[in-house]
Amino acid sequence: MKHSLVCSAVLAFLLSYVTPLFAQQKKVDKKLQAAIEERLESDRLFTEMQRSKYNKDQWRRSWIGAKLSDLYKKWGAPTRSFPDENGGQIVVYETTSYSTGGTYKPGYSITESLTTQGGVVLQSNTTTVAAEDTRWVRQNIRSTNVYVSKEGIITNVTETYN
Amino acid sequence: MKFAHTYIPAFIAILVSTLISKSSFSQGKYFEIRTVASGKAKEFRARTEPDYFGVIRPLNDQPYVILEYKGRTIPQLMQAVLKYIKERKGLWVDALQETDNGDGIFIKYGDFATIGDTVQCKANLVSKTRIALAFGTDGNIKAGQIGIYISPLNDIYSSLYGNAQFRISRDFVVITENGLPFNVYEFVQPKAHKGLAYPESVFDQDGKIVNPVNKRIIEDFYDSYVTDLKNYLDEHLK
Repeated sequence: MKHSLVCSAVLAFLLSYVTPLFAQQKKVDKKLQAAIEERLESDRLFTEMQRSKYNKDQWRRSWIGAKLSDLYKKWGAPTRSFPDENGGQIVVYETTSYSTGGTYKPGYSITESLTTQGGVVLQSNTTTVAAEDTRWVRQNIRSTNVYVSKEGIITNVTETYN
Repeated sequence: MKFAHTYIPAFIAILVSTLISKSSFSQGKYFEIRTVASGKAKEFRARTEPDYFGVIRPLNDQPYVILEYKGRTIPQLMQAVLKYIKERKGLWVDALQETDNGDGIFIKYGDFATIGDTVQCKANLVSKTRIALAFGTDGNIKAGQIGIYISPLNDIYSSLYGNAQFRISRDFVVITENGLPFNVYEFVQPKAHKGLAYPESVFDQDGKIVNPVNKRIIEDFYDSYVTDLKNYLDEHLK
């Protein structure tokens, strides 16, 4: 009996000491887990961005050495083309997109009146708030420039954004 | 026996911690990693962006690591360096560039190599290394000397995944073959709790060294480019 009492007391003491430690550990683990998740999220975004750059480069390179006639078959007529100084030409494909943003808040007027019980206006004050328009539209032009030799072979492909 | 079990491990622990603390103040043979105050004003920085960033610089604030080959002309030195780049598998020439005044020349070359894995560095680290060699470019480099520095275009990439396999394209874009998450290596842990997830960073957000092992590994990694070039040139030019 005495032995079990002592054991219980020791256990109670240990628990009172150990429980806050576990709680603290759990708190740290939670913080660490949240930090790792946050990091992996930004790592994933970066990885996707790199992959997209890589794929674009691969696609660009896949056309180098190909015939211009094959490009026309696949992409159709270009937006424009013009000769270069070496007897070849530069063929340009343009795609246009629009991005929009901002908000529109209509204007309004508030009239405050002081009237008698009989409805006679003694004083009137009108406040007008002008409309707030921050809307915008931006035109984005992506130009794919294809450099072609005088023999009709693609020597380079570049992309520019305006 | 009690002595052996209790005090010997304690002694070993003290010895190890002494060695670690010593190594935290040691630096590479040619390069060191340092923190530089961020030039960006606080209001233009992201919430977790630290006040410092890490850079790899030649030791003791020197602009270059200098290799000396007395009596050798710039064309001789350049020829030997270009031969070295050609002979070393994986190295590529980035640029051969004259200085604006035409007095000197730069050779810039690159490499893509593993610095360490998750066991050594707590993350998979690879480097897209850009090294610049200067020949007779300014008063710091005299006749018969080559000035070496790590270009600002240098990039280290890091992944927490041990099985991340890195690959570089012909346009120098780095990806992981298996699509595992990675990012540009942070020498300095980001601010706030996010910093906990960067065990491979050398510095904490206050610029204090928290990973002396990685500092040493990375410095050794960049030192080895100088050592290898020096050994080659010593053999072919001296």
